[in-house]
Amino acid sequence: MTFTLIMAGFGLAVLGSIVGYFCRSITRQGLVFRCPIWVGMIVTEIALVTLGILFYPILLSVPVQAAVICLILGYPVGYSMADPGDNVSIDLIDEYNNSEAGMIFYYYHNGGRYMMPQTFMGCVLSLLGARWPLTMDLQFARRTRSHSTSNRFWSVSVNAYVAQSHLVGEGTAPLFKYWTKRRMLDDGTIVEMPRYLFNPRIEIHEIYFAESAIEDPNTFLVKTDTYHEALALAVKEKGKSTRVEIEANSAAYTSAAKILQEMFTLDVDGPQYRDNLKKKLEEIKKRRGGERDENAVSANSTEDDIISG
Amino acid sequence: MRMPYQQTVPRMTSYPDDASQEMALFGSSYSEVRVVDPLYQSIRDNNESELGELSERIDVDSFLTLLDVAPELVFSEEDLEEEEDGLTLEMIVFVYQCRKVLRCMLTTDFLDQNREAMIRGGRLVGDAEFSERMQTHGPDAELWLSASLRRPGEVVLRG
Repeated sequence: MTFTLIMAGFGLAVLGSIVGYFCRSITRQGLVFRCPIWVGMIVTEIALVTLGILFYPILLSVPVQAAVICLILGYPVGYSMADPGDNVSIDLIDEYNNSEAGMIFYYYHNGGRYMMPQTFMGCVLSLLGARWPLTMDLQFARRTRSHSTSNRFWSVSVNAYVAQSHLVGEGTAPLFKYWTKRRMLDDGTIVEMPRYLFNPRIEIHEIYFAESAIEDPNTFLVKTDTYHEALALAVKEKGKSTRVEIEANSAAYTSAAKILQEMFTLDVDGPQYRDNLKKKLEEIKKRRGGERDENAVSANSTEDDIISG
Repeated sequence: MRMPYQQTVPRMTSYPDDASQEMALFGSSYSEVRVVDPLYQSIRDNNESELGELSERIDVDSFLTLLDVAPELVFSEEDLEEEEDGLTLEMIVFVYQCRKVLRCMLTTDFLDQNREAMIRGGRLVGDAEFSERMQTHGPDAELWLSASLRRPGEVVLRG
């Protein structure tokens, strides 16, 4: 009898761990203490005890209580063992450029990627429909930074992908429509305005990864050569934009120069300028470093001169 | 060793900065000259950059030879035709480039001359006003003298 009860209890614990294993893919919490299902099980146990005290003493019997407790104790075992591959370590930079590595738990629903908040109420609201959209293209994750901590007993290290930027937007996600208010506009269009019971707050996350060293905020600040490389890129871009700005500003002067150029009549103004023109061309030639080829044949040379060289 | 005669002690004079010098010399025409000068410079810079690009592309030796052999091709406003003038397309393009270079150089000279004339005109205005002032208020030559002596003979307008 005792052996049967022990094995029954063990079996219930195993059942609990199996349930916990699969519930990990539903609630997606890092720690089982935040899992609503497990908290619900504990609350149920408390309710059973309360009811047993007040109304139904049978609920306080050892088999009933032992069964519930075995389920509750088995659940975290399976929950902790499960690893559905839904988490990624990201090195997020806060506004003070402090490196902060955190785990992000994400899931897919109807083709969209969402982040699972690691709080009890957050998880409950997400499962009810107030999901947190997440933009995070992992295929661009290149750079990692290693964080580790250790004490006398064990050490923990994690390789986190370095995020270039982390943008958080706020929004609301309405839940449980209880009424739809209809109103007719002047042009006969009917506008429907639904009313919801709850409007919980959601966060919209966008994470972009640092693909190179100059995009990695801490490396940029710390490594001199990275800083110089980024400066050189910035200077190049500034040069490009400056050239565009100059071209835009100088359009009027370009037109003025062209008008002036067309003002001259070459058959009148040209001959008077001939000597100056030759002088300036010689200067240009000198500047370019070219020399008149000494061996070139002049128009007046004869064949004998060429042969004698 | 103490000298028996009185030596001329060099007097320290402070010269005005560029803007003060220009204001002293141009008088009331300062603002006009100051506003117009950058416009001249901008047009000239545009012209010079176009000339620079053309000079890079053109063969200067061939241009000089053309000026010796057939200057009437360059100093002309007439359009050139392949069959009529017996020239190939490349030669026609080259002649047009030479004409363009000539135009740019003429424009540069024109702008320089006009700018110089504008500055000299401004100096005339400034000198005339100073003369009038001197007649009524007497010489206040400290500023004007040091401005004039700062770079004697230079046509003044900086920046």
